Amino acid sequence: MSRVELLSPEGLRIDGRRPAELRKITSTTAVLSQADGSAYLEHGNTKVLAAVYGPREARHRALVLHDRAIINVEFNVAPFSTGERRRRTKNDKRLLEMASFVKQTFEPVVVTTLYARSQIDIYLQIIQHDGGTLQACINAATMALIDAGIAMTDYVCACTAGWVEREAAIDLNHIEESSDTSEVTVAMLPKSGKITLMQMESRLHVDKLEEVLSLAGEGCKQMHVVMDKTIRDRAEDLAAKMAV
Amino acid sequence: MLRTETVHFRKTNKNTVVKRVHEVYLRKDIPCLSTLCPWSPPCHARVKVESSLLSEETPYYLIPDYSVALRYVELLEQEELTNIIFTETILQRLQSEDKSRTYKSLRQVAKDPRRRSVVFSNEHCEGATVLREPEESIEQRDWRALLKTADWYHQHLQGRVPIIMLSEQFGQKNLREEQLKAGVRVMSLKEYLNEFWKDNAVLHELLGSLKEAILEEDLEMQNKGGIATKKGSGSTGFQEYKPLSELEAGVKSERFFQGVMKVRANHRDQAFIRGDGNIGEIVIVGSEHRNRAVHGDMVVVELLNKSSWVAPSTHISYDPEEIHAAGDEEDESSNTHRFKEIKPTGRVVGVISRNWQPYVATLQEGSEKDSGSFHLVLPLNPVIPKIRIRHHDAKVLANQRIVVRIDSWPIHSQYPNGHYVRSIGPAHELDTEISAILIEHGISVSQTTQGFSEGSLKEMPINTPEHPWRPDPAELKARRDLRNLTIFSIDPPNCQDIDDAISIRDIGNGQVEFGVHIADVSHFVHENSLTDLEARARGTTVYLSDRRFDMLPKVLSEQLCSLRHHVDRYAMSVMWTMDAEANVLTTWFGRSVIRSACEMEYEQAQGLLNGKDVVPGLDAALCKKLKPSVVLLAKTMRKIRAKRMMNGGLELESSEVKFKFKEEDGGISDILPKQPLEVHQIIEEAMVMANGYVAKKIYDGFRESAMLRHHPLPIDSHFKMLRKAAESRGFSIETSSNLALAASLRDCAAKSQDDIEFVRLLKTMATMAMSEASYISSGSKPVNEYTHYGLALDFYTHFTSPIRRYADLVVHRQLMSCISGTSPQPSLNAATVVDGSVHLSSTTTASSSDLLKNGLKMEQVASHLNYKNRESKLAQKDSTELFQTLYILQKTRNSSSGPKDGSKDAGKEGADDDESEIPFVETGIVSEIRENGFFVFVPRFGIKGPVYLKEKSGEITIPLSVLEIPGVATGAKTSLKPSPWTTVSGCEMETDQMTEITVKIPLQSAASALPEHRLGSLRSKVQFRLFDKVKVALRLKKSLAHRHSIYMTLMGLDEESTQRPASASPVGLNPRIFSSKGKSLVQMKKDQVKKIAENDPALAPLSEQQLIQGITAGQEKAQQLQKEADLQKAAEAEETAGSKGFGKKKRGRNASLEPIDPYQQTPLDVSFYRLLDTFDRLRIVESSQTIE
Repeated sequence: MSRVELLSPEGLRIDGRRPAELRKITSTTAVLSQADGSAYLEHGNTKVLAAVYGPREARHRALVLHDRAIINVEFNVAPFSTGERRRRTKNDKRLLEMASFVKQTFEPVVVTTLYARSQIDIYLQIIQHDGGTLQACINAATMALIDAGIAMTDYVCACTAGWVEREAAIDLNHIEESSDTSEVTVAMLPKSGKITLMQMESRLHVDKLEEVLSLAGEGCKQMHVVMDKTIRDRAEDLAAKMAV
Repeated sequence: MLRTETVHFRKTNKNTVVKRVHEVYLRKDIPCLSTLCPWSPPCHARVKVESSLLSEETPYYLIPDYSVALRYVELLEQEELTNIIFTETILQRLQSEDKSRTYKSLRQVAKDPRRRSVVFSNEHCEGATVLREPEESIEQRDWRALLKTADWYHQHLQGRVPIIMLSEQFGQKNLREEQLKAGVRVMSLKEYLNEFWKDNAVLHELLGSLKEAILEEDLEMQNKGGIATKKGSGSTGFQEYKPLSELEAGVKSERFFQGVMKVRANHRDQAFIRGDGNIGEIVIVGSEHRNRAVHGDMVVVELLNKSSWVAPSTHISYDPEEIHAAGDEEDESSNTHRFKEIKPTGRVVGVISRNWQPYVATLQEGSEKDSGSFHLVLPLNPVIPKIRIRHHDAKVLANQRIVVRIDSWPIHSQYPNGHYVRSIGPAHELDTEISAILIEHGISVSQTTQGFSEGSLKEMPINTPEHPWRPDPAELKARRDLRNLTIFSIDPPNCQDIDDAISIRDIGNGQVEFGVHIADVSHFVHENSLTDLEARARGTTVYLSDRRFDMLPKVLSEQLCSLRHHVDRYAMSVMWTMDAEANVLTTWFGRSVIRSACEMEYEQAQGLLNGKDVVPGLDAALCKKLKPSVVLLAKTMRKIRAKRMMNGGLELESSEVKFKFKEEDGGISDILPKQPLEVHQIIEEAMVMANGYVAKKIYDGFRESAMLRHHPLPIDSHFKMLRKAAESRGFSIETSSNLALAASLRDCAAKSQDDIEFVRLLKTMATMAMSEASYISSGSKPVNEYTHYGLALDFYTHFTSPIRRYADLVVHRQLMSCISGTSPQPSLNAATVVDGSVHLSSTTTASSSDLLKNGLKMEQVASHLNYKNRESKLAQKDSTELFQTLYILQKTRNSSSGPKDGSKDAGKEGADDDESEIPFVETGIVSEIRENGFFVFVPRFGIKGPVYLKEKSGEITIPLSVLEIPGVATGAKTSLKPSPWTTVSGCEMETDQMTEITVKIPLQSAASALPEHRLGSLRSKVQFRLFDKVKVALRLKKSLAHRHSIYMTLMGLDEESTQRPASASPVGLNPRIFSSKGKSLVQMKKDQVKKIAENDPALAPLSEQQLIQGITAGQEKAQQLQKEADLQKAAEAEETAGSKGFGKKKRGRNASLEPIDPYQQTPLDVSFYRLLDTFDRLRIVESSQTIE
């Protein structure tokens, strides 16, 4: 395909959003009856399903910690998730890396000291991939953890941001990601503004870093609003049912 | 926002089908960008967008569809069509079909604020897009989308403006009922032109040629299948371009090199691209390797094997036609000369983007007799190849200059295909040639007709005798009142647009208060007003040798902004207080009101400086008032200049000339080189100082976006020529820094006091080695790169000429913003009443401070101004050459016979009427040695032209007159003297291509050819070294399709050059008497003296009568020169020496005479002076010759 204009002179991106706008987000919790907590999240066309089991007895006794719980993250990418069908093995390096990112993101946030000698499993399944999978996974995992009732100090909201042609933009989709843009994923605790994960693989000029980060921060706050609404709605729903 | 999805299916390389789903967000906030928007606030105020707005007084808005946008772009580019809405639908379609050139042109139209055209993102607008229905073709779907957009606009604007859709594919019948009623119309281009532009012949013609060109293409497409197998690329040798992905990959991996391809006018058959850093320049030899790329295109080049690398030829081309035909015939000579270094050689494998412009061309001769509609035209610019156009009636085009555009270059065709746009006029007529120059350099028609739109004229303040303009009392309070100071301006005579004035006075304590006051244009021209936009588009005032095209309307440039004397004027002032050593103590910037006491002329000021108490043209009281200021000014500026020189400021040369025109028929009476006076330097220094201080000030205020001017360091390899040239005379030039260079040049000048030409030429070569100075935005470079090499200043900008340069206006606004801390003038957003005239509502959405603070936009403006500046200089150079050739034509034409202009002569080159041509002989210096001859520079006229020693056929010939040793009798009687054009052929030549060229004559052939000469009276070999003086006859090579070009024939050597310059000249006249400060007037005298001193063989053909005529005319001439000398050098010691020289001259004249005299030379004070303005006061670094 010939050179695509990622940001038109009118200020519209390739899908019609403005640089500081997120894609359409839909989310539901408690979609899997069997799991302790689950969530389904859509960022535009990126669809992720998260399931949380735990805290439960650790599978491998060797890994057990005496004073806290261990968090185990597993990633699965469906072969039909990208444009061309491709099957990935479970031990794909990339997936393992993403899994470890998610694990590092949640370790400081989940109050693991409450659950000594246990294991919390987070299973993430990517159903459709259209850019921003890591952010979607983190957000889905947060909601699933809340749904499972696991104690956390705060929500973890994640958002990608990058430099598209001449401006900073958030929530990059697949076309924007795969062209020459530098992209950073930021996971933040919205109440305190602390960042638990910042991940970038490309190169970004240091002068632009500040703008991109602040925009990502804004995006995280917007995410928080959406996620919070979903959780509260569900909670009200449950409360209404219980209050017979 | 509504979210939908689009689904495409693509075929992959593995022949599978892939389904791609993309989201599309439909918005409600896409602005309609029309000033008629009925909502309040209007939609463009709610969203941040940069665009011009559709106007309100127009009878319709245009929406072109894809069929029109694809093929009739040129019609849409015409300035008459305004208020066009470009939909995202067609822009996206153009991008996906790879028509990036068309896409860019449409974007350009939308960007131009005068066109009032917009881009509407209908694909993302909720009410203006449609989904593709099953079984629907793309064209149908796009058409429906456009209809929906038209509907949307109609509803949104509540029917205020009718919408017209232009389509070549769909018609009125494709509309639905309700649309027909709603005032949406569909028209084809022909219908549209017939209804709204019935009288505009240009548009109709353009439509016609475009239609023909399209027929052409379609025909070709059909025939391609059949022809491709037979002709293919075999006959022309062109290869297919590689696909874009391969090119991009190749460039990234550094296998290929990308760059803009340039062809140089003097080197045929060769093109150059500048690769990146390490590779330097890449040569492309031959038309096969050039592979259909045209000068200016962005191409991708692959290097050839090292064994095929070639040294670029230093051959001087014989005529412009041969450059067009690069590769018409095979020529091996370019590969065989390896005297210069071998450069990497390559071939073009792909073209990234074309840079095809409208070109001025002429029908090839003989073509009009051909039947059939295809004709070849030769562009005026010899680097562009011949173009094949289709025109039904070639007779109409014969001998006319026409404008053509290139459409395509198919692989099997030797020449590109194009179409005819319009005619300019008959070839070789002055007005036609000047229009051709303007078109070639992109100087718009509106500027040439001096047309300022009605809108911008309405914005102008009124200044007529009935309603003279007066300063506003409120404004006066806000300004510093400097009307009590003695302020004066110094300009060329008859200058109307006075931008700058100076004041200087002693304020006691040895301190001096010095002020530079510049016309306050920013007060009258508000940012983003129509006048401002027009001035920005023009960029600069264009000066041609006989006329001038202003950037601003006359009411401003000649009256209200111009600092005329005896009236109050607004100004922007910079005032310094300095101590006795010219150290600056304080600086003040601000708005003021002044009253100039006098519009002095340079000569008058110089007269006061030289000690006179009264100068012609000014009354005694005024002179008395001004003289102390002028003297103080000179003293102060000398000190400042000395300081700058100590830091490395350069003093360079530019060979500019002034033309003096005859009153009667506009013919040229004389060409005079510029005569620099000290007062020029003084004013220059004052302006440089002001510019420097203002630059620092605006940089402090606008770190990221100050408009500065910088001069990058010259590239060391450019100095090679200069160094070698200096070495050939025993001097060495240090080029490590500007200080070193300046010191070396001064050293050379001091040591060669008697050989001023040499010094001047050396300085000209140094000027040519310089890089080009350009405008930059301070945000685009780190601060240590702002330095101006030639002026040796760390910060520099243009501040002192806002009337003729747009950059200065921007600097004024930035300066005002820095001083006052607020934006200078509110930009227009609604109808306001200023100065009694009503301003139209805003034309764009941009706010005033946007441009000044935005570094990115400032960069764009800076590069636009650089481009405009360059084009204007090229246009000026072309016009100077045009007039030089006109002058020579006048001089060499036999006065008894011959037509008025050369066009009726026997067509092209060759066939000079040897007998009827009067030799027009001048002295010149050898300035560049090439492999088939050398260039001679004639300082009197500032003309540089080639002398060919090697003919096109390869024969080496030399004129007989050069071989004759003067003073030795040739043994021939006067009556049998051969004509001055006789040459001896069969010689041999040797050269090192840099500093010398030697021709040896085989004596036998000389003897046989010229029996009446004794062998002993001829030289056996002649050597020409760089900087040798020679006598040449200036001749014109006439050509129909190109402008006449100047070339020279050797007439003889200058005797002095055969000896070392230090020794005395033959007739005992010591040229050192005229040790001067490089005044070319003195130069002129010296030349004539030298000529008189010798027995010119060139004089022989002149008859007795002419001799007598000459003597009397010569006496007149001497008196003239005497008068001039009086004027200029009254007080100097040289005068006594000069009159001595004159005495000797008078004696010498009886024996011989100056060859100039047969031509009537009108005395100086009678001829009508049209001027070249002093915009080039800073000619130091802005020589027009840097382009080469």
